[in-house]
Amino acid sequence: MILEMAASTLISIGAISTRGSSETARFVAEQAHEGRRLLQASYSLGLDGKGVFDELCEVAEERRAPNWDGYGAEPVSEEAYRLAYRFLEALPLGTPAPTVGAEPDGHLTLEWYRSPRRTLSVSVSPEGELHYAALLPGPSKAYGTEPFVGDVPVRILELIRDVTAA
Amino acid sequence: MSNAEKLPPITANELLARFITEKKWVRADHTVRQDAFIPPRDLNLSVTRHLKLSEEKLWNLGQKVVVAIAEKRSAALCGRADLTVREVSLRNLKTEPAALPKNPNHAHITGWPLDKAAQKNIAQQLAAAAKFMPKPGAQEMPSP
Repeated sequence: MILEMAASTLISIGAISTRGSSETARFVAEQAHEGRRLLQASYSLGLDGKGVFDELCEVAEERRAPNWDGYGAEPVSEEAYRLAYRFLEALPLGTPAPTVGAEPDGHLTLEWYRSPRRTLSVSVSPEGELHYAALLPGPSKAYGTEPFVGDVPVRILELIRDVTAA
Repeated sequence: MSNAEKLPPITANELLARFITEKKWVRADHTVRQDAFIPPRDLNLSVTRHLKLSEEKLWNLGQKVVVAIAEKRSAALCGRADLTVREVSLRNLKTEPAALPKNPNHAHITGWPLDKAAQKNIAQQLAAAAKFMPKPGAQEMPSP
């Protein structure tokens, strides 16, 4: 029962952090982190199992030099890579895998795609901002900026769901 | 066209090419990602006017774009994303001539909003409107 509840919690929410300072709180947080790490490695639930973290590393490595696009692009910084990694880690287990790219200002991008007019792109800046934009059926505005402080903003989770839903 | 002074004014129906120097800018289904249309920090997005250039001359201009990268890492011209000036104007952007010594047909897409998320939104719309043309002989696009 407890195990089932724990697994359910790990899947439905993002990375678990603790504000507790007791030995017990730290132990629970460590165990939760380890359980989540193992689930991330699975093909069906985790982005790690789908190779997204490898793709992120590859994209960042290949764009560390200035002008990587021939049009004067900024290099991808270590900080942008670190934050994009943390963002991916914070996504709920079972989230469809995005593809990874980079933009001329050195931001790393994560894209969820169903068709050219049903797509979501999230840019992770080295300053810890998430710039997102989505094309979806209907007239509603679907772009904005949210700070990234460890949790994936609800608006972005909603857009991932809207873009990837069958 | 080889002489900037002879270039006609930009018209709504003419085609623009955004040369694709990154495989990641194109999806496996040959649609274009927004990344290809995100403007640089100076907000001048480089494109090349087709005008009456032959396909061969157009590809030659694109090849020059990748020369600068090739000095630093392996790079190849994957293709180009074509769209009309009208598609640019519909997003309240402008297409302005910006001839270069080696590319008199060079132009800038200008008038981008300062807000990054708004830029992404426009870039997505331009990418959705663009048609990808693979460079003859270029490697296949990677699987998603």
